[in-house]
Amino acid sequence: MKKFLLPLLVLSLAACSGGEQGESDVIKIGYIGPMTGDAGSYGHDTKKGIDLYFQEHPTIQGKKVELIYEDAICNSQSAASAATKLVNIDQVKVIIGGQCSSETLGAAPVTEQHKVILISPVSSSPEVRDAGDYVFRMYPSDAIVGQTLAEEALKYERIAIITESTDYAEAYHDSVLHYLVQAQEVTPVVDEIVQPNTADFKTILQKVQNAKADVLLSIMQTPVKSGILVKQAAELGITAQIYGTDTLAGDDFEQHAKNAAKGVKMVIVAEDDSRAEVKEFKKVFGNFQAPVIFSLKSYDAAHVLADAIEAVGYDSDAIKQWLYDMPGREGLGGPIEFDEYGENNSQAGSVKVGVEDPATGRIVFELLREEP
Amino acid sequence: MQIILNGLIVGSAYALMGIGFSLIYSTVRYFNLAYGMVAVIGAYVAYTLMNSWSLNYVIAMLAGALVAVLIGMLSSSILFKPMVRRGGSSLVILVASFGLLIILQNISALIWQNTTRALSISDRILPGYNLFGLIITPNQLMIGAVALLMMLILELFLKKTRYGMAIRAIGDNQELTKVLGLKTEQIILAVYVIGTFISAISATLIALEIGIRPTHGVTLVIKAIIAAIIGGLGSIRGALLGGLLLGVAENLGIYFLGGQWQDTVAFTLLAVFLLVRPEGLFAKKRLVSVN
Amino acid sequence: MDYLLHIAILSSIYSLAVLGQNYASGYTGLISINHGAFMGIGAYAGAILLKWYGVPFPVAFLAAGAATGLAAWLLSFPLLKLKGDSFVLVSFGFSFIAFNLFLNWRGLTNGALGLKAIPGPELVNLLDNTKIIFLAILLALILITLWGLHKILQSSYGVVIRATRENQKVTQIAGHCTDSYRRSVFVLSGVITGIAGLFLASYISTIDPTLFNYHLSVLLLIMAILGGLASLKGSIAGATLLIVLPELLRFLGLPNSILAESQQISYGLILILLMYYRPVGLFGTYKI
Repeated sequence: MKKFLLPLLVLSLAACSGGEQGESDVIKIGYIGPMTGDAGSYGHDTKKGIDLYFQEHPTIQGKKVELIYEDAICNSQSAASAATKLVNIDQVKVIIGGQCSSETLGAAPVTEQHKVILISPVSSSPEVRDAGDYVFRMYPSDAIVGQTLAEEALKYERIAIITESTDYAEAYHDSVLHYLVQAQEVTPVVDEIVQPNTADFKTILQKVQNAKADVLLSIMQTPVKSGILVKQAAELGITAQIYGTDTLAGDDFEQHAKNAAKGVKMVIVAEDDSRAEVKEFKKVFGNFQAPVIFSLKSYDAAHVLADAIEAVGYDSDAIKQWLYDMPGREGLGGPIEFDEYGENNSQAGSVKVGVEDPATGRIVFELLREEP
Repeated sequence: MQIILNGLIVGSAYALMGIGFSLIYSTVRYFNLAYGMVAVIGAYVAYTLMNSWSLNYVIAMLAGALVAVLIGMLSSSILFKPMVRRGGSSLVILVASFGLLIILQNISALIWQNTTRALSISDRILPGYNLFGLIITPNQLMIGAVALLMMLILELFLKKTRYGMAIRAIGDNQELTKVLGLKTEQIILAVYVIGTFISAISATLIALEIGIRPTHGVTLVIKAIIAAIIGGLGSIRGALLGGLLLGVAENLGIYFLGGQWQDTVAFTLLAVFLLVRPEGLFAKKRLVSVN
Repeated sequence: MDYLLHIAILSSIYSLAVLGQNYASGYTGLISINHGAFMGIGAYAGAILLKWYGVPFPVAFLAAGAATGLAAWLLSFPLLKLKGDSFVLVSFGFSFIAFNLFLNWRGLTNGALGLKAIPGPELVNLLDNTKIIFLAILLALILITLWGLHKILQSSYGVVIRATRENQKVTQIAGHCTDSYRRSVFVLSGVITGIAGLFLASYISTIDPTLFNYHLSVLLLIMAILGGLASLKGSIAGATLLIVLPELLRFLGLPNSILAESQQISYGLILILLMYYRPVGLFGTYKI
């Protein structure tokens, strides 16, 4: 055991000396997101949205902004480690993250304990509502967006649901089921779960077909899974209308689903394409790997946070209060106002459908025009 | 019904994995867990060839399998052979092979990232064919056909060639192989070549359905082991049946118990066989025990 | 300072778990890859009671040990019938089955959503920095376990256990019911590891099934092998090393995108080098 004492001593000196953070000339902002893995497209786009904001506004209160990125692979354990590292070693007081709900739920206990602001641009699980006092989010709760999905499902007779057993998907599923069963007393004919480590849906899809379902809700953790499901459904000749959640679309989805994505619908918060600022943002951003709304929300998160720090300084309690007290404002991704839980539920879900882009032959998702 | 067909198709891919594994085990008598990962690397190479150089699926699959074979041969010569020579027990080699698996898995993650890569025969997703009321998708057709072909080729090889006979003999009687004029080392190399080749083909086939990601290395070697053990280690026919049985059992389990119990079904099947009939369906060799 | 305490606590929790693992694997030759599931059982049993029934910590402590002990006892019936490679495989399979149970038994474990805000021992609140007392409790527990295991292994009971490891047949002929000896070792190893699981749950305060899948079982076995099978201090060394090393890698300033993979590759390399050059591990005495 003695041989461990010396390195431990050195480590402790190193750790302690880095500890004291008095007045610094840098504003550190942490980022937690899925930079790698099946949800990598989200990490990529959300990071880019935040980077874009700080490229345009590199300083707050005259001090330079330093972004510290941590990869949480859409996983709550990794997010907890990432948060621990950001809070303990980098000594950040504000974190923009997580992106996947799993990440936010994993990071929150750590950030709450250390009174660090955690503002998530796109986490939507209803569980995030109670994740903590210092936790805020920009994207509406699945309890709200999920209701749109449930309402869509109710347009059909026989509802089938396939859910991945992960925290985001299960919570979303519970919201939808709650609405269907409790509010409308409708029971799905098929309500199946798939393991997260597998991607062979064929037998479950057969069950859906056998039950003569006419609508299939696919609640998956990542676009990859959604893509594989849609592909296999098309091969099997499944006739039910497929609906996905916010986690459906993206480059990865397209890679797997290809032309089978045509006609697939998804429920997601939609950006207002008619606004000039949004058009401008899209032009500057370039190529999107995930739905545009995600980058817009991250940009907005960065903006709101920067304004908070500018107003009250790098003090998490003051920032927290400022955010709660913030009057409603219009972000690029839609209205922003935080309620007493730190939620921003000012938007409902919209329905998008996969249509063939005549120019490229690829399937893109566009807002569904309601028929009269 | 449809479920059984699904099970048989995916089972045939499992069978290939199991056959390759059984083949190698029957000769070297240790478990090589990196087997599954090397196979997946073969699939990754096929993916890269298809995407970057627009190679046709079958050609890319074969090329990928050759790369996998190379890695397999290297792993045998550089790591396993010296360890055997140093007197390592089968358990020590098993643990070391697990270390190799971890290394290969993470190198794959660094090269190809952790996201699931898509592999397809064609650019467009096509609907399946309807055969007597059962649907068989193009992917399933490819998997079934290639698996069958591979097994036939293997059967011929084992029956007709010198190497083949030596491989079949080495399990029972090492002396016999000397009569055939082949050294043990050559035979070991041969089984690694064949086993790895088959496994890479299998992994590339399965990738049509579930894509490619680094974690599939572990997943596939587990399927291979279960198939091989159910069938009886060392028995080719056994591994074939074991793989098919595993595929069907999994799918029946998914249909009747729910998708969330898939792994439980697979491992319970393994446990039942090990407890009730450890020599497998076609008893050839018992599992070597540590004691 | 806080960070050091954090590392020390994690090392202690895993050291305790590996003591359990090594007791089974090193001293009895039961190379089990299911102790991660045991940690999970202890963690969930304790967490459920602490969180939803508000029991005092010592009760959760006993429950965690009892639940895991029971699970180990039940598992030992099919498992101990097997030898060598088959034992390893079924034990590995159990870690998947347990993971499925944690994930799917939503009524009990809350499934993928996991359990949050799990309280710890009330004692830790005596000081401002809760970590200090938490660490103290763990260290005390480790010392007690070390002392207890040491005494057991020195006794005539311990002699039989080691004899069973070397040659079960001969030991049976000598008149010992080796099965019940091995069962008792397996159960005790489960209890110890289960209690470590409880402390993990209390410390990180949120648990979900993915924490306790086969990766954890493999990690515990690697820690035991690294430290040395059949060495008590080896268990502690192995656990501490494999907790500290990845943290050191962080400081190397590797770009984030390759950090996790680099850590894993280093695990793999350690395994291979160990097996190649020194399969007994650092302090071990039992060669597998």
